[in-house]
Parts: sequence; structure tokens; C-alpha cells
Amino acid sequence: MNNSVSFDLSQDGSPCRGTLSFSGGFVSAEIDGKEVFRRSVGDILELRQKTDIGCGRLEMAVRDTSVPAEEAPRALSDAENIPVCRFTMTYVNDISEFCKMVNHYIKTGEESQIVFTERLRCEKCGRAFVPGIDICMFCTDKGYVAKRTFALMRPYIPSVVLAGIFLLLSNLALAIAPVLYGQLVDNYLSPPAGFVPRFPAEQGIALLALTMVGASIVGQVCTIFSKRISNKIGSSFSNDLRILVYDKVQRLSLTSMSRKTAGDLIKRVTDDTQIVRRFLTDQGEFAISQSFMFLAIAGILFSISPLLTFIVFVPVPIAVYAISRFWHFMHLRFERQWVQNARSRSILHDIVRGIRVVKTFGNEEREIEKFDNANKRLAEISAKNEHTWAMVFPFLHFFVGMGEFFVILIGGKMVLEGQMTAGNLYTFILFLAYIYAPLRWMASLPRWLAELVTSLLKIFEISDERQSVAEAADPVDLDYDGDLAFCNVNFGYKSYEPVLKNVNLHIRQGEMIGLVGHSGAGKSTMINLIMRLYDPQGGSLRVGGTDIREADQSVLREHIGVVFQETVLFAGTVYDNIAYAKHSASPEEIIAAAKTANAHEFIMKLPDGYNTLVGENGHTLSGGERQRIAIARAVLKDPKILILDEATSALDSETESKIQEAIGRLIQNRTTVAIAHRLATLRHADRLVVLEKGEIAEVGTHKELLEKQGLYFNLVMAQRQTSKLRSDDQKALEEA
Amino acid sequence: MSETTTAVQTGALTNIGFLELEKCEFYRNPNGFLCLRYEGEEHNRVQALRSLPLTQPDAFLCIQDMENQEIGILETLTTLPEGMAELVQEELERRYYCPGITDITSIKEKMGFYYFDVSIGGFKKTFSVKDLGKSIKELRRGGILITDVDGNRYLIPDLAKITPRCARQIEPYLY
Repeated sequence: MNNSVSFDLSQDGSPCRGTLSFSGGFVSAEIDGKEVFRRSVGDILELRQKTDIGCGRLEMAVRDTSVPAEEAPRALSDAENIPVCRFTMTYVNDISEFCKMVNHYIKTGEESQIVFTERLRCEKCGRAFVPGIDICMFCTDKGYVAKRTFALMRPYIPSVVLAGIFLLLSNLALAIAPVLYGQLVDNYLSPPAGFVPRFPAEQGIALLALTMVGASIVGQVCTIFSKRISNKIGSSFSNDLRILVYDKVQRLSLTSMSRKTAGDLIKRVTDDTQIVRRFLTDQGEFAISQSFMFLAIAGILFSISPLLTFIVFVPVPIAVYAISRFWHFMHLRFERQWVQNARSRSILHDIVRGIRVVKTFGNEEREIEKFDNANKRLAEISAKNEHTWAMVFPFLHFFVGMGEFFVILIGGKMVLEGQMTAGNLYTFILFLAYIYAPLRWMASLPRWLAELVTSLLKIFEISDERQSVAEAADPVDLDYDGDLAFCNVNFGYKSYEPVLKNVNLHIRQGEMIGLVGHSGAGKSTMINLIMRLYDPQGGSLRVGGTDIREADQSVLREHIGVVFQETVLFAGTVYDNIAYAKHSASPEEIIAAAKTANAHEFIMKLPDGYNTLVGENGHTLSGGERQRIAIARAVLKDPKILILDEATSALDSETESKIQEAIGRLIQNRTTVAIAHRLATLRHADRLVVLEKGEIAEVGTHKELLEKQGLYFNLVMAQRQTSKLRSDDQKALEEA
Repeated sequence: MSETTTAVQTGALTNIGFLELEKCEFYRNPNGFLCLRYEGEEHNRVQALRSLPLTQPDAFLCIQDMENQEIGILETLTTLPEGMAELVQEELERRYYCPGITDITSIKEKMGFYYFDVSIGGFKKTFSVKDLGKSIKELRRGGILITDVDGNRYLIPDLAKITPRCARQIEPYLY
């Protein structure tokens, strides 16, 4: 049975190799094989994991034996806890699972096995996986990026090959020129003694000129075809990538979204896909055609002079080595440029989004300076990269083409000594331009590759990320009536920091539940779980008896309507924004929904009624008006479950009464879960659920809970006191 | 700091609630937890939190009970009597675990992730870092703070004082 985990810090904070075990009702800890802790869990209430900064500690909470048996067991104060071990964040998840196993034993007396919910380390190298990615990036082979790119490009391969063939034909047609020049010299301008050309001189020269014109036309036509095909491939491929990334961004859990800035995500969807397109359009087909050209021309050169061909290729292996080293160096520099670019965008995004705050505090100059500094830094890094490139590239270029000088030196000598004709040397030298084109292109490859690989990795990082809220493989049909149950739900945004602890709550169809508690008590977390923005780590949420993880997410969300405190309006008309809940809604339905939401009246005052543009660059609506649009959306959706998250906060009393009236209509015959800061707005709820530190502390009606004089009573009294102070202040002001 | 103090004194801001040193007595209970006796009241187990952990780690230390209720703020650690300052310092070191890197064997980039092989004291440690721009912070006085993908933190206290070989390893990754 697996009942031990590792830890890596001694009590004094020094690194160690420790093992924490649970066996026969005893928790024990060993460091380097020596037992340093052993204790029975007999008088222990639970194991508690505390997370600090960069580390954590495990403690035993001792049971308070003075609590009568009929009351719920309690722990002595934290000061009486028994320290067990310390650990770094590397082991925090393992220790969390250990805690769950031991606490399960303490509660039930059943021994169980530690369940590691996810693979955390690579079996091969032992390195930690990067959260959200299930492959070891360290052990992944070097061809990973190329393989992934080719896999994505598979549908385009026939088109790429076709574009490459056209470009090859174009290059071959243009490459006939050196052969013709050679013939011009050897046959007509400076023929060897005794040589009789096939055609008379004038006719032969005209024929050569005509062939050159024909070859040039064929070459240019092929270039046009090739460019057209490659541009099409580039656009379609980048479009596919953009959709892939955008689609994944839409599906990412809120946890992973919160780890990335808006600027970062926008850059991945737009710029990175653009860089891939540019590479494909500008470099992809060139690479294919030049590879063939390289082989063909190398063959021609070899047939003219093996010695000179050898001289041309001597610097190549050294250049390839230098290029590969330089690539690594450039890659890091381009990564730096990428990060700074994303930072600048994030600053810009923040400023634009918060422009009202910036202006209110008169911080325009400061923000300009901030953006200016970020841009200067970006310009600095870009300039440095360009500078490095400008310094190294000509050198590489020169080095790769160094063979040309030796060709002239040795080839010229060979012509003078009669080992080679002047025409052949001329042809050879002209062909060098064709052979050096791919070689010099290779010298410029580090820059392209550095930029490309940086962008591809950013794209793959998103596309490879595991969805933490996974879609059911075989979703069950959800025949939902509005019944909702939390069954032993345990959840934490970080699995080792529980936010909800063992929550059990059955909400009946059509019931209105008010969630009450201090901030951080777990109210919003409960509604996040209902919407399945996250999945619980323990227990389940059941709708109509079905675990929501077994249902199709989109089907589940069809049954849920939400009115948030802040309503986001998308760029579009009022009509579009209401129809966001049901795209197929008819104008009658939209207007009826707006009337139910008390929104129709203000919409009709807008210049273009329901066709008025709102959102970005559109008409500005007040908070109350936005809220009514949100309610209209919810009405239109006609959900079985309605979630009201501070729907009426921050509104003036007149607006609030209109919204309350609309909400009153909306909640009829629907299961409603509401959070409201102002407790008075929840007094008519069928039941109030009071949360305290992630646990349900009280459940009852407003009246019952007031009579109980518990937590809810205290919250109400505190709020009344605040209101009284406010109204006293108001009176004093009025009297003054 | 003087500006803040002035504001507090003039009553422009809420009183910051500095603890009066002469009324503070820090000690450890038998289980080794930090406790505070303040103005005669026993706070059986307290925690010390840094308000400015990166810029002023030894100033504005928030002392809380285990319910996260603030008892008061210690203006600086240095003004505490010697024995007590050590107790609070130990508590801070326990809470903010950030071992010092003594040697960097290698830093390898693989698929956009950076794998560090380092020594911490005599211990070899391997960790991985993502998003260099966010994970490596340059601190004041030449320090470098590195946060790995698990949330562990590592410190190079002074870049100027590490070996030239280590400096060469880390410098390309400083943004």
C-alpha cells in the first residue's frame, strides 16, 4: 500500500531527504533513514497543511478532550499544534494527498492509499513537469517543433510541393543562362582553335538570345504561380493556427487564463501566427526549391570541375557549425524581444482598459512615461538584436562565399594552363551565384529560425496545455429539472489550499438560495463550481442526479443563466448583445425579454433603439442599464438555474428597485443561487446558506437564522450598524 | 518612510498601528511557535509577515494571530532587543523560504523552458523555469530572485559576489 511521501526540509530549514509515512495509526517522519518524528493519531483531530512562501509545513491539530462527546469535536488552539515536517513547494501536492489520506483514516478508521491525481515528475529524468503540460519538455526530442509543425502542415503538403516545383522550374529556367553564356563564349566569341560551331555565328547568337528570352518568360511565369500558391498556403496556414490558438484560449480554464496577461494571449493569437505565416510564405517554398537547386547545380559544377567544386564546399561544414551555435544565441535574444514586446502590449492594454482611472488620478504623464520606457526597452533589445545580426551576418556571408575567390584563382590558372575552357570557367562562376544563394540563405537561417521557433513554442505551449475542466468522453443526456446538489465537495484553486471543505447542500428545483458569508468564505467559488468553470478535487456536483462532469459542458451551460455584478457588453448593437444568450431569437423574443428586464424603456430612448451600437466605440450605457441587458439575456436564455452574483450592488435605489422588480420576474419557477453583499436583498430567499471559512456554518430562512443569533445574526447586525452610521452621517450633513 | 510617518502623525491616514517596542515581548512556546505578550495580553502563537518582502524585508513587519487578525506592525527588526529580533527573524525565515544559490552548474533551454542545475549549500538541485521575464526578478542591491514552476524561490544575494563562471551562466537570462 502506498502510504508514504517525500519531504525535503528539516525543521531548521536546511535541505534534506525525508520520508513521511503513515502506518498502523502512526505518522512518522524519517530524514536520511533516521526517524525524527513518530506519533499516534489517536488524540489528533486532523493533519493540517500550512502553505508559506516557497515552502509549507505539516502540523497535527490536537483534539480538545474537554469538548463533550455530543458536540462536534474541536481542536485545541493552533499554538498547541504539533509540528511534523517542513517541505518546499516541490512536494506540496504530495503532502496534500498524504494529509487527505490520514484525515480520512482519523474520520472513518479506514486505511486508504494515497491517490496522486496527476503525474508530477518525469519518470526518465525526474524533473518536475511544468503545470498544465503532461510531457517532459526536457526529455522531448529536438525534432519536436519540426514534427509538430509538419503535423499541422500535413493538409498543405501537396500545395507546398507544387509551389516548390514551380519555383524549381523557375530557377532552372533562369539557371539556363550561365550555360548559354558559356556557349556564347566557347562557340562564338572565343572558340578554341579549330572548333566549328553547329550554327553560323550570327544565327547561333540569335538562337542563344531567343532561348534566353524563352527561358526568362517561363521562369517568370513559374515564379508567379509559385508565389500565388505559397501566399495562399501562408494565409490559410496562419488562419488555421490562429483558429487553433483562439479556440484553445476559449477552452482554457480560468486558472490557466489567469496565469497569462491579455497582451500575452493577444500576441500569441495575432503576432506569433503572423510570424509563422511570414516564414512559410517567404522561406518555406524557397527552402524546398533551393534544396533541389542546390543538388542539381552541385551536380553540374561537379561535372565541370570536381576540384573547383571541392574548393567551393570546403568552408561549408565550418559555416554550418558556426550557424548552429549562433542560432542558439539568437534564439535567446529573440525570446527576450518577445517577452518585452508582450510587456509593452500588456501596459498598453491596461492603460486603454483603465483610461478612466488614469485620467481621474491625473496620471496620464506617468502612464505615458511607463509605456514610453517599455517601448524604449523594446527598441533597445530589438536594436541590439539587429546590431548583433548586422555584425555577424556579413561575416557569415563572407565566410560561406570564400570559396569563390579560390575558384577564380585556381580556375583562372587552369584556363591559362589549358585544363579548362574559358566558357566552362565562366559558366562555373555564374553557377556559383546559384549555389551560394542557398548557402547564404542558410547563414540567414538562425534569425528566421530563432523568430519562428520562439513563436511556434508559444503557440504549442497554448495548444498543448491540458484542459483542467475536461469534456466528458461519452457525455450523458442531461434531462434537467433544476435540482442541484453539492455532495462532499472539496475544492481549492490550488489543490493544497482548500477553499471549500466537505460542502453538502441539496438545492431543490425552483428554490431560491442566498449564499452569505464574509469575503473569502467560498460563495463565489460555489457558483464557479455550479457553472463548471472549475471541477472539485473531491466529491461531486450533481444536477438532476447526474455528476456535472459526465454532462456535455455546453449542454450544462444551456441550463444556467448568470447575472454578474459587472456586465460586459460586446461591440455590437443592443439587439446583438441581448441575443448573445440565444442567437436564433426573434425580434419579438428580444423585445419581450427587454421588457421583462425593465430595459425596453431606456433602449427606446437610445437614438437607434435596439440597433444602437454599444460596447467598444459604441454608445455608453450606465451600470444599471448594462445590468438590465444582462437580465434580458438571462430571460431570453430561460435557464433552469439562475445565478445572481452581486447583481444589484453598486446601483442607486431607483435603478435597484427596477432591477429588483425585473429579477423578481426572472426568478419565478427557477432554481436561483444568489450572492449579495447587502443581506436585505436576500431576505426573501427560501433558504440562506451561511459559509464560514469554506464550510457551511448555518442554513435556514432569514427569520430562523435571526432567531438563532449565530453568524448570520452577527452579519446582519454589523450591516445595520454600518447603515445606521451612514444615515446618522447623512442626517448630520443635512442639518449642517 | 518619513513621509508615511508624517502622514500618520498628522492623522491624514489611518494610524498604521506600529507596535510599541517597550511593550512587546516575543518568546517561543513549548511547541516552538512564536508567541507575543503585548500590553499584558498573551497572543499564543503569532505569525510575522513582510509588508515589502522584496524591497524592505526587515521593515514594516505585520504581526498577526492565527486568525490572520493583525496585532500590529513592527517598524523595523533592528530596533527589537537582540534575543527577540532573532526569534522574529527565525520566524520570517521559516515563512519566507528562499535558499541562496551558491553555484550554477548549467542552465539549459528546452522547448521554451529553462532547466537550472544549481547547488544550494552542499545540495544539488534541479528546477525548471518558465516565462523568464516573470520568473527572474532583479532585486535592489544586485540580488536576483528566481521562482520555479512549482512556486519555489531561490536567491542569488549579490550578482557581483558570485563566481564569474556563475555570472556568465545567469547573465543571458536577465531581462
